[in-house]
Amino acid sequence: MTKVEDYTQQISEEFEQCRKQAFSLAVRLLNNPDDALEIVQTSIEKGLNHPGAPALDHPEFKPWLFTVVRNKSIDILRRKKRLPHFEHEEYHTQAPSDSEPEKALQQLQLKETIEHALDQLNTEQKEIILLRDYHNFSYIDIAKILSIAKGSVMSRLHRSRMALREILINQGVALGGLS
Amino acid sequence: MIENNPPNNTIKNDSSNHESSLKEKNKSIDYSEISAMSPQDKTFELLSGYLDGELTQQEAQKVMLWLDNDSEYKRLHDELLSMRQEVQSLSLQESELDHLDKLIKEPIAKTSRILGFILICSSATIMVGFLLFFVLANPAVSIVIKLGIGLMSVGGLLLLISVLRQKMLNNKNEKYNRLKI
Repeated sequence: MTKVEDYTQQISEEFEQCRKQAFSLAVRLLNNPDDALEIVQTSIEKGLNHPGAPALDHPEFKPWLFTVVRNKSIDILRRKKRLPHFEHEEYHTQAPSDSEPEKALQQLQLKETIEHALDQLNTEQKEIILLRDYHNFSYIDIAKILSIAKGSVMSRLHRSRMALREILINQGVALGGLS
Repeated sequence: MIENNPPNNTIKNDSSNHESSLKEKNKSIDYSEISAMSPQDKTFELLSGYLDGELTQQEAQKVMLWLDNDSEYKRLHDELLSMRQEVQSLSLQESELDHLDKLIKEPIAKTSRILGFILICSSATIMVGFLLFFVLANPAVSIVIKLGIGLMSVGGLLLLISVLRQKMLNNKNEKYNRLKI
């Protein structure tokens, strides 16, 4: 393989991963894979054609893409005022591979409980938890994506985590390794 | 790891005793009690920064000190840590990503696009060929018109070759051309 082909291959893989993650965020925010795919595709096309967008191999491309995907998702949510929960479940009900069926079922139930708890958060709370815990963005990147001050990220994230914790506790889930 | 309270390990529990016990356990760190801004809240907020590795060394040392000396603070730390781990474990489920691949590589759309392109190119070639044959082989058409049409055809062919060549060169050199969008 030539250097150009190697480079293309590497960028292609990174881009594919980035697209999958962006799609994943959009699905979770919108609860609709078709809308999510449309948003991700148009955002990527915008990224390729917009003169101000970072290049695909630039470290800023991923936060930029997530910013566009997040903003478009918010626009759709505002427009449709979609109620949470539908279609979404079918993408998360696959049983985890585990030799013990009972344990696998418990894991599945636990994941579903967390999915439902996430869906009960408002968009602001949900998106910041997803960006940090699900997509591993740094506070600096989260601040860029959400267009907020870096200093606000920790407090907003903490409030959102506390809200999620409260929902889980109200659903009877004990946290922190209690047996 | 988030664990379930009930002995049978089910996720949801309708038992009021169990809920009241949970509320009692979490009373001292109830979210409503720390929702208003105060210096106390800042110490709780730092927990999130600590979990995410986003604190300065000085802040992290403060948190470690509080964790050593305050059991409730430690308990909230453990709870947030396990909750964070569970959310992380939801990441990028295969079924979700398979759906994306399926939508992108949707075979009918892809096939119909290729078929449509082939049909348009074939029909255009046949029509142009027929038109050229009809005009050039017809003795009733004057030589000037034949020459004009012939030159136009050659010009069109040259333009087509030039565009195709440019496209091939772009495909060879364009670093994004293999990306599926």
